[in-house]
Order: sequence, then structure tokens, then C-alpha cells
Amino acid sequence: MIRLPIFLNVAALHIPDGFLSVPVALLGLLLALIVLAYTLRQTRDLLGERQIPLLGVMAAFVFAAQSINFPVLGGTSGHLLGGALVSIVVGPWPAVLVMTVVVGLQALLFQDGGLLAIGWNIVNMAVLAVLTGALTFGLLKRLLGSGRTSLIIATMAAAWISVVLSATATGVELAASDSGLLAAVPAMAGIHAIIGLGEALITGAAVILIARARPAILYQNQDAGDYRAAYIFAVGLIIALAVATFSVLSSSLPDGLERVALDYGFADRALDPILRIMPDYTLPGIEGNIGGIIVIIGGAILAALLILLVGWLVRHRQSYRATSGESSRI
Amino acid sequence: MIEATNTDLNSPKTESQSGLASLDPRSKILLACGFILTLSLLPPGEFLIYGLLLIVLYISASLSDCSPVYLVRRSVIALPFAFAAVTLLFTIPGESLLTLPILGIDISVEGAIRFASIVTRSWISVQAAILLIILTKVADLMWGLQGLHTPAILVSVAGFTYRYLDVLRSEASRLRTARQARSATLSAGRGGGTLLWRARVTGWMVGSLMIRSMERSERIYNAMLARGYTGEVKTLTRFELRSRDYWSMLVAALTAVIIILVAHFL
Amino acid sequence: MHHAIDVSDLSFSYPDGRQALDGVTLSVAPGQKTALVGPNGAGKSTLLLHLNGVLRGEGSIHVSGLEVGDDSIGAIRAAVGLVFQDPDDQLFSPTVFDDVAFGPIHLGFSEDEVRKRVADALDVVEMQDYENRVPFHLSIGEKKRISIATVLSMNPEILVLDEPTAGLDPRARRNLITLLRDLDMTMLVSTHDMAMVSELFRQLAVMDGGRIVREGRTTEILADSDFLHRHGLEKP
Repeated sequence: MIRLPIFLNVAALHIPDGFLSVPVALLGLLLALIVLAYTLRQTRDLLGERQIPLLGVMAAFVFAAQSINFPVLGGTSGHLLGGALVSIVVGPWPAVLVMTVVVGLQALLFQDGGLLAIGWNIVNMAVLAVLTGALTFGLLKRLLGSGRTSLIIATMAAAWISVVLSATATGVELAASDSGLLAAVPAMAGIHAIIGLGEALITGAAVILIARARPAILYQNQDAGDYRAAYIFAVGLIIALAVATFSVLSSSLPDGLERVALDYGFADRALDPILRIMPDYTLPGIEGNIGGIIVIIGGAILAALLILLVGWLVRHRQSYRATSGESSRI
Repeated sequence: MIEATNTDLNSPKTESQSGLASLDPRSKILLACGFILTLSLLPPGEFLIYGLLLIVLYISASLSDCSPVYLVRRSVIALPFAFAAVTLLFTIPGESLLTLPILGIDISVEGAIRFASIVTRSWISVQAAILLIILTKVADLMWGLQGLHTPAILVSVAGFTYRYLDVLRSEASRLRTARQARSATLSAGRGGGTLLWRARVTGWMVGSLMIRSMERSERIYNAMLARGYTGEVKTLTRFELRSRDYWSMLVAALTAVIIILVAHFL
Repeated sequence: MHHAIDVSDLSFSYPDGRQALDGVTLSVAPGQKTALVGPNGAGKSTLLLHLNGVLRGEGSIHVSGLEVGDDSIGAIRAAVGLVFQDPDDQLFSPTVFDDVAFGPIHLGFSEDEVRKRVADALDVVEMQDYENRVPFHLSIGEKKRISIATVLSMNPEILVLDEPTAGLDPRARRNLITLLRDLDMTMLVSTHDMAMVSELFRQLAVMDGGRIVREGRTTEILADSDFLHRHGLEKP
């Protein structure tokens, strides 16, 4: 817990320039571009001319909400990241745009996150966090039914998972750039498993308040937009992340993980058996670091293909549908 | 993490019209990104070349009426992330530089070089990004992004975000003041109820801020409609690329290529 | 000759079912400055939003001879300059220039014409040097003046203002009243500032419960203290 204050500072997950290798950074930019192209079409159909003021003010809201600190222990405090909250309230696709603008302005105006690293920062905080939040929320709501308790549980789970997954992704991207940064994967995931609790509590309380004070706001977006596309996207990203995480971690096992364990002081007997059970796995003939990159690239291409497929499917379906949202040509 | 005050965004330096400041915003964005890309393409351990690029950056800043001291002072905000690189010191195998007492962990020479390389390059990159925002007004920056084919909607949305950033932050700070007024011990770090309670209060504040924001966006939308808005935010041309833009980009590109080649092959 | 504003039997309910307007009838003659007063929730702001078609209710509205409808909406929005109560809603652009230019650009004027109109409008409200300023850093009084410039740049025939003096300190209020007096155009102003009403407006319309309950000369209505009391108003 002593490390917590330090890591609360990097809780915002913004990767600065200099940490990512150029191929990894470019891959992130490519992935972000593909998702954004798709998202822009979605929100245009969804919100029409209303989208610019609504999404602009929502992004400003995220900045403002992040300035409301949440006192944790001693002098430390955490704050909201907001991906899941915006996703639940305005719907996943508009939320992707909102968070993209937040991440972009954080990099440009405040140097919070790098300019070359902006691709991955968008993928982590604006795409992965938002879409996995939407997926978790949607699944749990369907599972638990409509009641206040189910709303609370679904919201909190969505917030926690979105934070943990985007943190894990950040760690994987760092590790793929430099195998020496392998420790970032468990460190990021572990620390954010705790930070995510704060996110879950704050998001839960915020959604409950909105559900009480202005239920119309919360539900006007529930049927809007292509949720199925968002869910498919999210599943694709999670698979890609899982593959990448496994390969990056295992590519330098047992050496890497043991060192991580040492550094973080939990290399006791507790972990030893696990380390022994896991096979010493590397891609044949390829050095660990490069293997990791290849798998990430593969995962990203997989995700990109999924995205294209979904986009194609959606467009195909829409051509049969009456075009109602064509009031604006932007 | 955003603690910068609104005055940071409107530093008097943006009034500078000499050196890089006089370039088209599109050129400035490309130059900054190119500079950072060049740094990222350099191999680890080339500290001489990093230093050279830092000097180039400082000279450009000075020629544009921006003090390098200011860059250094503002670059501190990017340091916390360096902690993420600390593990490099221990995980890269190699000749032992020193052994940490008590823990008995070795720091390798290679690890130390990799760590220092990443942190240095990251630090120089941040200063380049700071120089960009100091020498470019936010409205011009937005215009430049659109000129570089960033989707118009994204830029328009960002324009609104920039406009309402401080409006909503002052609403948030009024909420914070109200919270403090009702819980005197909170600022001392403890008290103010259980952790759970404090999280819920924060969540309520966030929720009510969100409702207000959505209502505000409705009013703004009406104000836009009233002035002829039909779904597209149009702006006037602000800048044109001039010969100095082409020259500076050409010189920068050639220098970058030479530096990268030298670093890799000499 | 037609009225500048002619509203007849206008009713409107919000989506949540709240009826805001209940058969409003009101007319404003060209060149006339009319004040619209009434308690909060009387429907004043809702009525103003109808005047250039932001909201559409049941009934008919004519503005400078045109019926408000889908076909006329562009001309209507050019003819009616609507200034909202909170200048932070009215001024939504990154700089003052962009905001004052927003209307003319969207009306489709050439670049030179837009620049000229922006300069002229800022000149009228005496804010010439503010083109490159960021709205957030201005005082409320300055924001109000620039809000007015954002519609003056569209050269409207009619100026519609929602509570222009709310939140102003005495000096800024005085400056604004002087500005409104000097603007020679048809004006409909919703306000709680009864002192300004008696000083500036010869015509007065009183609204309560979604209806216009009285319309007439300001001096006459302000003399009827029973009537004022019944509708929660005070003599200045």
C-alpha cells in the first residue's frame, strides 16, 4: 500500500512519448483511426446536428468531473476517469467520441499523454474503457433485470472492469515496446484493481443520482445506437488483449515474472508453484520481445478485421432501413 | 490529473510572433510531431544526440521569445510516469552496476542506460509538446488540426470542450466548496465519514454536474439554432502556408533524417 | 402594415407534459420596444424560444410578415436576433471573433462581409478590441454586450432579449440600458428589472401561468397596484 500514492499519480494511464517503440505507436494510431472512422458515422446517424454541442459539453464535463477529487488515505486522493459513466449515460458510440476528445485535449493542452502515443491512449481510455464498460453494463442489466439494485451492480462492475482492462492494456503496450517493462503489466493491472474500486463507487453513486433526479436522461439513450456493434467490438478487443497479455507475459517467463514478483515483494512461496506450472512459452525461433510485438500486431489486426466486418454488416443493414437521421450532412 | 489553471492555457507567450510562433499552425503541429518521432526513432544510449536535439529545441524556443526555463518548469508534470520505467533498472540482464542494499537486487549497466534513455527522450518530447501549445493559440491549433484532415466533427467538439472546460470546472469547484463547507475535517485528510460515504458524496457531485452539463448543452444547442446552425460548424480561413513554412519543414525533415542515420550507423 | 411580431393563440407543452404556454396572443409594432414581465415559470423564456422557431407549438406566429414554419426558418432566424439569458450559453465559440462571426457565416455571407459585420457589431457594443479574447475571461457585463453583438452581426429586424440585466452590477446595468436605448430597432425584452421597464419601455406585456394577462402602456399598468400585486410584481 505504500506504493499507492505514487501509482495514483499515474492512475490516469496516459502513456507519454518516449515509452512506446515507433512500430507499436504507429499500430495504435492505425487502430484508433479505424475505430474513430466507424464511430463518427455512428454518432452522426444517432445524434445528427445535436452531437457537436452535446458531445463537446460532455467532454468538458469529464475534465470537470476529474477535477473533483476523492480523498482516499492520508493526503492521497483519487478521481474519476469517466469512461464507463459517459458510456452508460450517453451510449457507447457517443462516449467513444467524448473520451477521444478528452484524451486528445489532455495530450495537446496539458501534455498529459504523448503526441505519438495518442493512438494507444485513445484505444485504452476512449475505446477499450468505454466499450467494455458498455458490454459489462449491458450483459449484467440483461442478466439481473431492471431494478435499482441491478442498476447499481451493473454500473459498478462496468466501471471497475473498464478501468482494470484499460490499465492492463497500457501495461501490455509498454511491455511490447520494451521487454524490460514487462513488470508494467501486473503492476498496472494490480494497482488499478484497487483504483477501479473508487471508480466503481463514484460511478455507481453518480448513476443512481441521475436515475433519481432525471431518469429521462438515463433512459433516452438506452435504445439509441448500435449496441450490438459496440458489444462485438468490445469482445474483439478483449480477445486481442487477452492474447497479447498472455504472449507478452509468457514470452519472457519465468525470468520476467519472477523479477516482477521480486520487485513487488510478493515473490514468496505463494507464487512459486504457479510459476513452475506455467510453461516456458515463447514463439518458436523468435526472441521474446519481438514475439510480443508480433502477437500484439496480430491481435490488433484481428480486432481491426472485426471492426471492418462489423462496419460492413451495419452499413448493409442500414441500407435497408429508412434513413431518418439524414438531417445533417457533416 | 489536470490541475493546470486556465491561465496556463493563455500564457502571454502565445502573443509572440517571432521564430516558430509566426508559422502556420499546421506547420507547427507537424514540426512538433516530427521532432518527437525523430527522438523515438533514435536508439537507446545516444545521449549526445538527445542533448543535441534538446539544444535545437531550446534555440527554437529562444528564437520564438519563449524561455527554456519555462519549458523545464512545466515539463515536471510529466515526471510521475517515469516510475513506470523504474523496473527497467532491475529487469534488464547485464553487468552489475550496483547492488541495492537490504533487497539484494542488482541494477545492471544496460538497465540503467535503457531507463535513462526512455526517461530523457520522454522528457524532451514533453518539452516539444509544451513549446507547441505555448506558441499556438488553442483556437489556431484547432484550426490547424482541421487543416491536417482531422475530422471536422472531432475538431468542432474539441472547440466546445475547450470553451466549456473552465465554465464546468468552476461549477465543479463551487460544488467542492459546498462540500467543504459542510464537512470541516475533510481537508485534514481524515474524517468526513467513511471511505464509502466519501465516494458516494463524490459520485453525487459528479452526477449532478453531469445533469447540469447535459441541460447546458441543450441550451447551447438552442442558441446555435437561433443563429442559423444547421449541423456544421463553419470557420473562416485563418492562415495560409507561406514559403517560410515550406522551408522550415524541409530543413527540419532533412536534419531529422541525417540525425537518425548518424545515430544508427556511426 | 403588418406587425413586427404577431403571435396568436400559441400553446406549447414540454415532452414531460408540463404546459408552458396556454393560448398566448401578443403583438409588437415595428420600431416599438416592449417589455415582457411576469413571475418565474410564467412561460416567458418558452415564448421567446418560439419567436425564431427553436421551439414549435400549436397556434400561429408571424415575424415581420413571415409565418414561422419549415420553409421560412432561415429567413426568420436572420430576422430575429435572440439573446439568451446566460451569456455562457450564448457565447459557445473559442474566441469572441468566432462567436460574433457564427451567425453571418451560417447565413452564408462572404469572408469579407463576415469580417465587416463582426467589426461593425463589436463597434456598436463598444467591444472593438475583444476579437481575440476568450469568452471565459470576460466579466458578465462584457459577455452580455458581446452576446448582443453576436446577433447584431446578423442584422436582425427584431431584437429579442431574455433577462439582459440579470446578474449585472449597477455600472454594467447602466451601460447596458444605455446600449438598449441607443439601439434603434424593434425589441421584445423579458425581464424582472421593473426599474428598467419603467425607464426604457413604453409598452408592457404581463405574463402569468402561460398566458398574456395584460398588454398595454407601461405607465398605465404600473399604476394599477392591485393588478401588479396579483401577479407577483412590484412597482419600481
